[in-house]
Parts: sequence; C-alpha cells; structure tokens
Amino acid sequence: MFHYISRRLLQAIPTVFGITLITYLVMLAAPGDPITLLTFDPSTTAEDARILRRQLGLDKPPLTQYVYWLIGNDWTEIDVDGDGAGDVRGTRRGLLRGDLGQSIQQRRPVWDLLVERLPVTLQLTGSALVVGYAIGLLFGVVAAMFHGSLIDQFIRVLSVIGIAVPSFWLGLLLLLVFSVELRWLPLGGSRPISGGGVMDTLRHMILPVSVLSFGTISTVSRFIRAEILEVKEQDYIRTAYGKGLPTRLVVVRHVMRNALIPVATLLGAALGSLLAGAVVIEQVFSWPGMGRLLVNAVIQRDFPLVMGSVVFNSILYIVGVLSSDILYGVLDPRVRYSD
Amino acid sequence: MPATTPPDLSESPVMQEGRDAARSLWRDALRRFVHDRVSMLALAVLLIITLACFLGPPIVESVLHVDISRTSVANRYVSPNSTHLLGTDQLGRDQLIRLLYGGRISLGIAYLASAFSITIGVAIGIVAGYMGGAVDDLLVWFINTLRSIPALFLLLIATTIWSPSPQVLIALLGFLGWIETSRLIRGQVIVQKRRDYVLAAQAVGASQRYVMVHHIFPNVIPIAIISLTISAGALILAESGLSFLGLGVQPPTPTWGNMLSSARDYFFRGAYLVVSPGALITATVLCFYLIGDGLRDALDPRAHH
Repeated sequence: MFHYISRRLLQAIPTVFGITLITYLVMLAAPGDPITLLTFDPSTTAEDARILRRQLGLDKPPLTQYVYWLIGNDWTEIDVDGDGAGDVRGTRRGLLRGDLGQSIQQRRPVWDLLVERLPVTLQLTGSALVVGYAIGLLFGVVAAMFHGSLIDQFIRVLSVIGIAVPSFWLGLLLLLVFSVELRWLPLGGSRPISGGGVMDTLRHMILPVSVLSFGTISTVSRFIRAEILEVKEQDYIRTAYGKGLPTRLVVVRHVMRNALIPVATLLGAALGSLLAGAVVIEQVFSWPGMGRLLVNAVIQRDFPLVMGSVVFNSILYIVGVLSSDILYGVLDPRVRYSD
Repeated sequence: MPATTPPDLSESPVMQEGRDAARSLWRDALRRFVHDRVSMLALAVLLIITLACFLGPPIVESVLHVDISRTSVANRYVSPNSTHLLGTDQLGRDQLIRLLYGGRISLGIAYLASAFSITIGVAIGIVAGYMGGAVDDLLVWFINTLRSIPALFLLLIATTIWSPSPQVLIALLGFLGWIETSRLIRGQVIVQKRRDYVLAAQAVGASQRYVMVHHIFPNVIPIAIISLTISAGALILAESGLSFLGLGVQPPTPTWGNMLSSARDYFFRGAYLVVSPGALITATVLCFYLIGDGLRDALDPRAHH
C-alpha cells in the first residue's frame, strides 16, 4: 500500500513541473511588455521603467525568470540601480512556496485572492459532486437493473442530453422559468450561511448546483450502467446463482460490490470538469467564486492572476485525480499489485 | 538497416485478397451504420442544419426580406411573427438570419478545428506508439501534462494573449483538441505494431516511415473517424462556452455562443432570444455525439463478438 501511494505521488511530480513550464512558456509568448501594463501612468520616466524592470527581474534571461517564478528570489540580491552590485534582497517566495505573484489590477497577492474565493467555489463544486454522484449512481443502477426497459431508454436519452446541452444555456432556461416567470428562486448570487440562514443559502444553491451536477449525473450513470451490465456476465455471478443464492444477495454482494468500485476512478475527472464548469456557471448565476475571478482577470489581461489561477486549479485537479487513484487502490487490491 | 522500398507486390493475388477483405470490412461497417436508425436521423438533422447555415441565408433574405446587418430601433424585441420567424434582438436585427450566419462561423470553426486537431492527434499518436522509447516517453509526458490542465483553462490563457478571431479560434481549438485523440491512437498503434503483418513488412525491409504510413495508419482510421465526430461536438461546446464568457468571436459577427451571451443581457425583454441559439447548439452537439456512438458500433469489430 505504501509503495502504491508513494509511486502515485512520484508520478505526479513531472506533471506539476510540466504545468508550471507550459504556463510559463505561454506567459513568455504573450506579445507586449508587462511593464507597459504597470507603467500606464504618463509621468513614468524611462529610468523608472528600467528600475521597475530590474526589480521585477524582467531584465534576467527567461530561464532565470522561470526559476525565480518557481522558487522565488529571496535568496538573491536585486541590482536595482544597474551598477552591477546587489542592492536589496528579493522578496518573492516562488510558486512552490505558495507565492503566485501580485495581481496587476487588484494589487494584492494572487494567492490571497484565490484562497478567499476557494470556499465559495468548493461550496458549489462539492455540492454538485455529491448530488451528481448520488443521482448518477441511482440512475445507473436502475437503468442496468431494468436493462432494455422503457426506464432504461429514458435514462440513456437523458444522459446523452446531459453531455450535449451547454450548461450555461440550461442555466439560463432554468433562471427564466424558476426565477423570472415563477419567481420561486433568486436570480443569482451566493449567500454565506452565517448571513441569511441555511434556507436562504440553499435557495441560492438549488439552480447552480442542479445545472453543474447534470454533466456528472450523465457520466456517472452511463459508467455505472455499463459496469453493472459487464459484471452481470462474469462467471462468478453465474456461480453465485448456481449455488442457490437469492437474487437480492447476488445483486448486493456480488454485482454491486464489483461494479461500484471503478466509480472511484471517475472522481478525479469529475472534479476537473466541475472546476471548469464552475467557471461558466459562476458567470451565469453571478456566483462570486474563483471562476468569476479568472474570467475577469482574462478580460482585464491580469496575467499573474490568470496564470496563478490556472496553476492553482490544475493542482487542485491533480490532487483530485491522485486521491481517486489512491482510493481505487485502497478499495481494490488488484489495482495496487498490477503494473 | 538501410531504408529500402519493399518490392512492389501490389499485383500479387495475396494483396488482392487483402484488399477485398479490407473493402468488405468498410462495406460491413457502412451497412451497419446505415441500418442504425438513430445515427441516420442524427446525420440527417446535422446535414439539414449545416446546409441551412451555408446555403440558407440568401433564400431567407429574399423570401422574408430581412438583412443580417439591418438594425431598427422601431423593431426591437419583436416577438416571433411571419416576417421575423424567430423574432428580433435588442438592435432590431432578425434572429433567424443571424442564427444562420452565426452557424457558418460556429460550424465552420468546429469542422476546421476538428480536422486540424485530428491530423495532429493521429500523427503524434502514431509516432509515439510506433517509435516507443524516449520519443514516446516525452510525448506521453507532454500529453499527460496538458491533460491535467482542464481544457477550458488552457483556452482562457490562450485568449488572454491572442484576441479570438475565427481563424485564431480554429488554430487554438485545433492545437488543444488533439490530446484525447492521440491517446486513443497511441493505444491502438501499440496493439497493431505487435501484429504479424507489421513484422512481415519490417522483415522485407520496409522503412519505419513506410510501415507507419502504409500499414499502421490504415488501421487507426476507424478510431480517427470516431474521434473526429466526437471532437467536433466537443469543440462546438467549447467555442460557444468561450463566446458566452465574452472571450470568443466578438460581436457584431454572430456566433451561436455570443448570441446567447447577449440574449442573457436582455433577458427580461426578449426571453425567446435565449431559446433558439441554445437549442441549435444542443441539437448539433447531440447529433455529433449520436453519430459518433453509431460509428463506434459500426466500426468497432469488438462490439460484435
């Protein structure tokens, strides 16, 4: 078990490294000088700009800049006046130590901005994950149990639509019906639980969570249905029936146990699509999470914030995939011992 | 080993037999596909939507006397009627004609970007799978890294840098869309390269490039076709999502996504404006996915054991 977990963790290192490298290369490819964004003020002289450039390390070769971005520059001295001797100590701690730089527009550390919004986004994605899995499992099991029946057909059609329908459109339609026409639910925004009470918080969450979980419901139910249908054909199921076990016991002990374990592998992918989905859904429902922060940062070309939030979300996603791999290994010993 | 061209065996009876078998494999697949009612329906709907967008606008313009760019203050938020079949928008422009022109952009981006991404995906998949070793390790590392950044985030970084005209979007979506395809192709190539026919080709002295192009490539075409269909659907969703966020093709050039995005701002005046672009996106994506499913059933021999 220890070996399995440590191998998985080691395998994640080159991926994280790759993400920082790709993000950095894209940042490098960006046309225009980051300095011009900072020195928009016409009173800035060329000398000011040069000092700023040296302070930010932009005069250094790309590889050095990448290293500073990754592990910080507080172990070096910055030559602010350009005379070849170090003047002040660097202050950046680097991405690997949680320093994602400063937001250009908001003039605050990117890390703080992201961590502030994280709970709001997790409230949405976490609920969607739970709802998506619960309903997806139910649909998948029902569809497989009544394989070929009308209800099976209905669930199959629903799950294909769930993948094809754009989430923002579904969100807009639900808003039209439930908020504009019927006036049952609020138009958007989130309420902290402490503010308006639990009921109010839930009322604000109903629509975004329903829309966001629709995709998860579809993938989980399709997966479970296929998995159960496959397990049902296995020899050990025939054996279980053969030795006279009642159907209920065969289904619960043999079919379900084997069919449900692989669902753990979907967790990581589901988290990834929920994080991406949240970017769009937060926009539809004016939900003040990381997604809106990112979209605004893109519109305002706030590079450090865009890069920081992409790296942050990708690492969240990798952690999700890792946990689902480890969970799968814990649940199914065959996975641990293979490869 | 010197890279020699193998002797020309194309006229031999053995090769002829092989070609017949290959032809009947495709013919079998086609027969299965044609007999699949859901896929045929999806294909018909997709054809109708595509033809309507690419050939329809002049007909609609002359029959209903509407114009893509004509704005009219008096005709804002007109509900669907006999002239404006789908109503007019916040500037009094006809919704139907904008949908058709928007479809040219949305569908055009999806078709071209998926053709582009499949080309890259097939090439990289074949090279990684067939070469193995360090080349494969490097490509797999690259693929795994790109896979760990959700695609929408990659698109967002890219749009921060390049302002998204249709051409830029085709390039971006094409460059980001090949990852899944190349994974599938690579898996298939690894299976194929251990087959006897590859060994035989290598034994008669075929070069690596010859084997990849003439032996491996034809065997991954089915997977490439399935991928192409599915990715076209996914790309329509990606493009419309990006446009919806205001980061795709910019108005006044209509796309289904940015029409939906502006309809959202005029939610209370013209709710019908929200319905039509979304319905078209859903229908198109659904058709692509259903055709992809049908093709998978028709082309994958394993499904028929």
